[in-house]
Amino acid sequence: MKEMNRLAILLLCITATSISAQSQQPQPPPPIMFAEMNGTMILDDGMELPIWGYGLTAEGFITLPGPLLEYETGDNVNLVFSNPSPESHTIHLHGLDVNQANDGVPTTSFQVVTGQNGVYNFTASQPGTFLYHCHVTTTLHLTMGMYGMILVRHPDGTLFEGGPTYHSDAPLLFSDLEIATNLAPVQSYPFHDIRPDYFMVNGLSGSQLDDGPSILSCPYGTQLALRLGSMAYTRTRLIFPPSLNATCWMSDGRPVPTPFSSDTLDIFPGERFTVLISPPSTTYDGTFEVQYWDMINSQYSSSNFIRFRDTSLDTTPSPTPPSIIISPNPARNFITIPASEPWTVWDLSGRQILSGHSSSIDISTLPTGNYILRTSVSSTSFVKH
Amino acid sequence: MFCLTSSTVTGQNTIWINTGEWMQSADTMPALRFNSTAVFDTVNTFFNAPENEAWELTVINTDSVEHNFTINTSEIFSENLPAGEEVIFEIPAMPFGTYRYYSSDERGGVLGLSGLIKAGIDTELQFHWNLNDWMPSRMDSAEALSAIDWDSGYIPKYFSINSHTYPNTADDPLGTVTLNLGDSCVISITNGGFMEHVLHFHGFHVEILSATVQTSRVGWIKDTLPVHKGEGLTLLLVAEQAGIYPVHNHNLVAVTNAGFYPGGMLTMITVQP
Repeated sequence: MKEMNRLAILLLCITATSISAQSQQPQPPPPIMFAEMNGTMILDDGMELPIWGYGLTAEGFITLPGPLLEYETGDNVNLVFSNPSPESHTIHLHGLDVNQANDGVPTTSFQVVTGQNGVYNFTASQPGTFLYHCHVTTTLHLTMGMYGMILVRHPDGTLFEGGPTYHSDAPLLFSDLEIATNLAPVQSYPFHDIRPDYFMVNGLSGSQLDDGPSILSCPYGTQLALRLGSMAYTRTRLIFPPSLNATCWMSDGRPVPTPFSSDTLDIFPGERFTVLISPPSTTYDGTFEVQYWDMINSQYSSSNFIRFRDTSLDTTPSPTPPSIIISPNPARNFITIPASEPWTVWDLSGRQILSGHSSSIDISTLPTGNYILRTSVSSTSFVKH
Repeated sequence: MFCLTSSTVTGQNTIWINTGEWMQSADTMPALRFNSTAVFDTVNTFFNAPENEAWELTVINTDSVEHNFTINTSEIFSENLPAGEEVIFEIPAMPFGTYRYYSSDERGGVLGLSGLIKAGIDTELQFHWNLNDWMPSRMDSAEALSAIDWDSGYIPKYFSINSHTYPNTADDPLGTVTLNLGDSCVISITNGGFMEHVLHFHGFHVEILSATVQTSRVGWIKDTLPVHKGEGLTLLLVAEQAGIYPVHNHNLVAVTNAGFYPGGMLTMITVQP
């Protein structure tokens, strides 16, 4: 069981919410998002906790936080969102200043009810760091995990027009949760007394951040762009070693009038910052602290630590998720997997349609199309003819 | 010399500390307010004050106990106000911006003596949000002149803008921003509560024109703004797109009324095409 948990953590880290530096790649095709209310995350102590969240239909599972959405400045986006879950949901595009129709607020925009799809149309007009979250019964849906980060890159490799160049991006989304709420969401009233007791960076906490994919790096002489955002109930305080020369260039998707260096940066719920850091030497290998402070009583709650080093010290290649060999693929009636283990089959709108545990899987009743086979450690697509 | 205007009477230079009640959901809470008449109103009055010019203000304390009258300017102005007394204060000159005036004593603070001064803000389109948070049990202690247990956890149950909670914030002409496409307006904000707040604008970014705590952020353009305890902020909003957009506290405990969502610090910006 412990090993399964480790693998699940690894998969969570790698597939959707990796905080390892992300190099500037060509934009992927627009993702199709879905929401579900039957996910699970694994806490630092191994406890499994129910979550609600977003996922990509191409992957077939939800994560906390949801997948990083990446665009380039000027992109005209049609974000398709399907909702197979039992309740209505939305995607509020936090900070993108979209128009009312696409704002993701049920009373002023639209909500996507169970079994329906919706499309959010907007232009990513400003580079920077943004967020998204469900705005249906926000206190509950967001607390349960329905949020993620949006990164809009400037196409010439600078942070913004006339801004500094940098080596790569490191999205860091800070959040927290109240374990009792996630365990029993229907009993979560009253919402004014939610008291977070678990504090995360990209959905990970404590020793989970020690794993390879969570270690940040960039080469000496270059700068790493920390894309910082908060979906927490707490005030997040970052404390940087002075040698990193942490310099804040942007907040809330706009350049700050005068970039400033600071060892301490407070991030309130919903705020975003872009901070450049640089390893002070080719042998640098250190950490910076993320503190969480209760906003009601101004008391310290917890800390996490992010490791940052020069790229030359990245001796261990990033692990890749194991994949399942499905044969035949494509198939008409049966597919087989190497060993008997629990599995589920999902369609591309995020609906779970089959489950079992034998190595031979009957797909004869499925309509022709693409599907996702999930096991406890992996997710692989197959085609039904 | 009296170049002061108030929310209700141009040229008024007298305010009253009045006692009354504030009702929310199932709670009726004791309340103190700064009002522009001797009649209790749940909303603290505000002032449009001159920029960089001293002015006089008469404050009449109708409460049964002494209060303190304080303004957070660059030099903190703070004077005592005996029970039942009328005192004329010489208010020091204030630079352009938004400032909190309040009672810093325990009873006055807990029961809601906290208002807003706009210095040098003379634009035609201006709105303001006087934020506060409320814990009924502490308010009952303050009303009974009992000792407040500050060491026990603060668990506010209501969160208000100009003493209104959503959906009643929609009925507040001073706080509900209504504009035509292309208009610019100034929004003044103070935090009169006992905790930090953070406001998120849907649909718009705003420019920070002044700040009494986050002074290094003047000129920043933001969609999510912390409002520290006691802080005054002045924002410029340009109505660049039509529609109805929420503004709300993004510490989500504060968008509730007695624990129910939606409520609390949530209001709307309406821009007519």
